Amino acid sequence: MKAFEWISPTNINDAVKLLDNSENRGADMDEAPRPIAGGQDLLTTMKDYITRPTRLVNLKNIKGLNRLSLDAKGLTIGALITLTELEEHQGVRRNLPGLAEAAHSVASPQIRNLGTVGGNLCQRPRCWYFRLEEVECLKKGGSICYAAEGENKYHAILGGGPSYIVHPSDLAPMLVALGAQLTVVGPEGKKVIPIEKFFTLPAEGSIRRENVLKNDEIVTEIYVPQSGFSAHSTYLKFKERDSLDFAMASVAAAVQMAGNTVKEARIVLGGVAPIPWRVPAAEKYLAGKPLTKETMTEAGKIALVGAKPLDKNAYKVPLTQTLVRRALAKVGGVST
Amino acid sequence: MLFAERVASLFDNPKPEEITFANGNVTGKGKTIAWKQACAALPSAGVTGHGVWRSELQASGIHGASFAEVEVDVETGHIKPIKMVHVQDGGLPLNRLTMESQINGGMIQALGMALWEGRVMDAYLGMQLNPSFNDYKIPGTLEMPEMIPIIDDDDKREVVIGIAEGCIIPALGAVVNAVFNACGVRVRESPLTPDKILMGLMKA
Repeated sequence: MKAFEWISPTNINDAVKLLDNSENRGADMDEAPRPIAGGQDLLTTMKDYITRPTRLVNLKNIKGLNRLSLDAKGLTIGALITLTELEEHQGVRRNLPGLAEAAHSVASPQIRNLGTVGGNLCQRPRCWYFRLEEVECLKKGGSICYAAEGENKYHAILGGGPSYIVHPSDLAPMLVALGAQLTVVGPEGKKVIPIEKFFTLPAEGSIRRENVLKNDEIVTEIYVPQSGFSAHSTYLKFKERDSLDFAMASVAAAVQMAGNTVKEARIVLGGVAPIPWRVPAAEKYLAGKPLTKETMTEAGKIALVGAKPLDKNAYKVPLTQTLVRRALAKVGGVST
Repeated sequence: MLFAERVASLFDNPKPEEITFANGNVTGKGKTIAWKQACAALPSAGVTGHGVWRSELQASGIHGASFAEVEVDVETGHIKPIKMVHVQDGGLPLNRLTMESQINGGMIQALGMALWEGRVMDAYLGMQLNPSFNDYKIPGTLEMPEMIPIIDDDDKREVVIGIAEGCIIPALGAVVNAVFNACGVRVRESPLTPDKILMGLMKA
């Protein structure tokens, strides 16, 4: 790990100023100062020299970033709320079961005790080429995505190219399904970004980043509006190893029912694309239909239309189709 | 035997081999005293003995057999280990608890090899892609099946061999065969990860 300066500001504006990198102009973007909360992802990237920040700005002494409140309008989650706090919150478990499930599915209890919601959304990809110190891949300023033709079992089948990472966050797909918004504070002040506009495909945004966040911007809060989706939400994550793993594929599903038929559905795939992958065609198909084995299976098929597997990840297509069907069955309370 | 010589005076001096040790007691010439009392008769300097290597105790060749039961989710390729049983010979068991733990350890290692652990090499870069325990996946607590270690006491050889993790050898095959028996997919390369099972099922 490269030596770094540690600073603990007590308000968010000071933190943003401390992230200013103008004096290091010309240095690689992964050497810029970084904010640190739980450190569960950042430290792993620093130990492998993937990021080499000159300064860490500790967010844990900033008041107001650890609010977790639920009222009739919605749920407000401070960026410093840990995954454990989120999954154990009785109101979240009762009113937004999918969000509690997503938080619970992350890593291990030790990591959830320290890892924060803000950090979970901003974590870097798990691609093993990206994570190897010796490999200078496309996402680290190099010119090749080694996964494209290499060992790509865990990589993208949707939205890939020129980089084929998958987004590692479990909260992200569920928050997209629930229509969450992020509050971001930067040098120009505060702004609110719908979570769907936060994540960027490698072909659209910076190839070096997974979201629109600039180096001197900080996610401070996540807001989940109360809606008819909240109560009928679920997050189904398939792990290669149950004890501790990222998703091979996952599905966040939420439905608003009108009697026995679906009024509106939201289906977001995780672990299969560089961003949480919403599937509007499958959502549209389900509207006005009852949840039956046939309709749920068909929704799964539609969700994976356009998937382009690489050499070693074709299995993700049938796997994800199954997960869509099972997630819908769970939110609809029907058997598969 | 050394101990027996030292405590013989407590029992009207029987021959050492006439003294028996059982159930927390020491008995000689019809008299029984508690182990603690017998120990009190030992000199304060303790008892020192020297072992002798007996070549006839040395041997090689152990045997064992493994059994495994798994459940396979044929829509996701997920394999859930349900139960493993391993019977193992290692010569004369000197410490049964250690031996059973060693059998358990062998079963866990075999399970790991069968279902999760594998070095992934990049052919172009010539590098291992999973050099840490993040990506080289060893089984954790949630992966553990019910495990029953059985020491093979039927072997009558008076030899001391040891077992190390010899149980890995058949246990790996037992897990792989259990998967085949459960879903009909014969995977020729370990570990048997969900991608291989799913692709195998699609070809079948």
